[in-house]
Amino acid sequence: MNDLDLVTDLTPEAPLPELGDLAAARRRLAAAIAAERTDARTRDESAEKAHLTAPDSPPSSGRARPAKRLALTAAVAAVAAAAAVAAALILVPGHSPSAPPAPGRPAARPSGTGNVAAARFFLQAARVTRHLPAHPPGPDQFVYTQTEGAGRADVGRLWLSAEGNKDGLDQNPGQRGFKLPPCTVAQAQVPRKTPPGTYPRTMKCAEAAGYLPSMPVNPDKLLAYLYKIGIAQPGDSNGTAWAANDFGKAVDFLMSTTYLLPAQQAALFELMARFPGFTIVHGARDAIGRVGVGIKWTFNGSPTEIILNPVSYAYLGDRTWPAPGFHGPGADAYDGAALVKMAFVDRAGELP
Amino acid sequence: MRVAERDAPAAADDAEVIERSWHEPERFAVLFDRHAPFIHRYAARRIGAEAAEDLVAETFLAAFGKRRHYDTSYPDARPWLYGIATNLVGQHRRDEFRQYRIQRAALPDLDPPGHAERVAASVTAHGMRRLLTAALADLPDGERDVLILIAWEQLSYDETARALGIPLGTVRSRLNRARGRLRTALAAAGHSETITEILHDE
Repeated sequence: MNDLDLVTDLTPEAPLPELGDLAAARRRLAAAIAAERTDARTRDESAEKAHLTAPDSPPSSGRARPAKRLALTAAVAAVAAAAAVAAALILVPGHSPSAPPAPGRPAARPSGTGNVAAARFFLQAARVTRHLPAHPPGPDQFVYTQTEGAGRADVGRLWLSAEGNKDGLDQNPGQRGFKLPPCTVAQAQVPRKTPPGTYPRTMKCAEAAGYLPSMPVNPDKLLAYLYKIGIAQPGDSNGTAWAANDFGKAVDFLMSTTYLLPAQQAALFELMARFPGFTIVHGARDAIGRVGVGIKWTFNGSPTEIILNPVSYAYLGDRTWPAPGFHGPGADAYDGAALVKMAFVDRAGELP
Repeated sequence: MRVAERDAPAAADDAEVIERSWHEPERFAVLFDRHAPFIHRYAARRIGAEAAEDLVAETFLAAFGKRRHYDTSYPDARPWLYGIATNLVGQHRRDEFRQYRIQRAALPDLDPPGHAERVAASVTAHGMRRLLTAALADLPDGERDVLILIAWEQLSYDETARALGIPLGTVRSRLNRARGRLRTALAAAGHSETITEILHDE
């Protein structure tokens, strides 16, 4: 038996579902098919009319048409209307997504375009954030985060021990919850003998700490640290889109699950300013309809946004959309979570 | 269990179905019925059952949107669908990360206790699964995609190359690198000599 057989035989089984179990997914495809048929009929009728009035108009290319804007707009409006403003309860002082801190102004729209505007935004966010008061958890405490998903009442609850040295808990609605094995930052680190930027990354475990006091506040050292503990990964290539996607998701992961010191959050912003793949979207909405400023990047045609409070720059949530070319009901934001609560508690499973 | 199930020869192969769907879009649903359960199983293993159905829907919506670009010289569309699903997995990295953590956490409780020796062997196999899960999680994304499509989904090198849009040589080199890293990780944990025994005992 070789190692490939081992991978085949020792990886967890997942059952082959019956087609009937996938009815919801099939309905989404059927809706997209129906939408295209309607679209095609409308186009044919329009083309016929156009032909009557403008006989020289060029024939249709037969290529796929862009997604229906109307359906997308209606879906987004429905999500926004349904999000009946779940009031955020944030129990960690100075780390409130919803409540703006006393000093501060709404995020100014930085002048310049694209990357320049984004860089200015990040540096402004870093300035505002860096000197906010810090309220880290105690060493024996747990960082509790609660999220709400887009378009459905799914509440995610996560408890991570501050130091990562005790079992955490990951609980979704209707589930008993999964115990997360402990893993401190020191245990998660890539061994020193590993050449930088290469693998194998023979870490014993995946970092599972709710607070990372060793995370540098200097942006020059921050990225190397994230690589070292496996939260970001140097890519096969150094493409802009890959780098922005990788680092964007690392920031998203940290902000949504981990207590960050204000200076650490500022350093993340300063580092983001160095990545050319981000743009800023004013008036972005998170999964439950709260309005903020979006940090957007696109990977493989699919956009993702991290949404921040426009005054405090605290994390509100994330959203992802399918790549252009998706049709029908699936064309609305299909994934996203809003952080509605972050608090410190003494036991995994304890609610604040 | 090996993933080798394939449909019996059908009246029209996938390429013909896709070609006909260019003008008769409803025909595309046939592709869903043929392949969706396999894409679902793949998605469930990678990002968890909870997010898998969404990923299946997204995969087929994306495939439907780009069906005019399908290369109809390939009669079997499943590798193409795996490729689309794999790209989408890249957008669900947090789910994948969470799935690996869950796998590691949940493994010791999978089997009910039995005969003492069997329990001992099973525990060792669980230890191996933990190591393997950790090693898989630590692979670079491109290598993990190749390894998983070949080991779990039983795609050939050619099919994997087509699914991921990479040259055949890259499939080979990524697979070799991934296997080397797994061996290193397992050997570092002192398990290299007991792999066969563990599987045999289990």
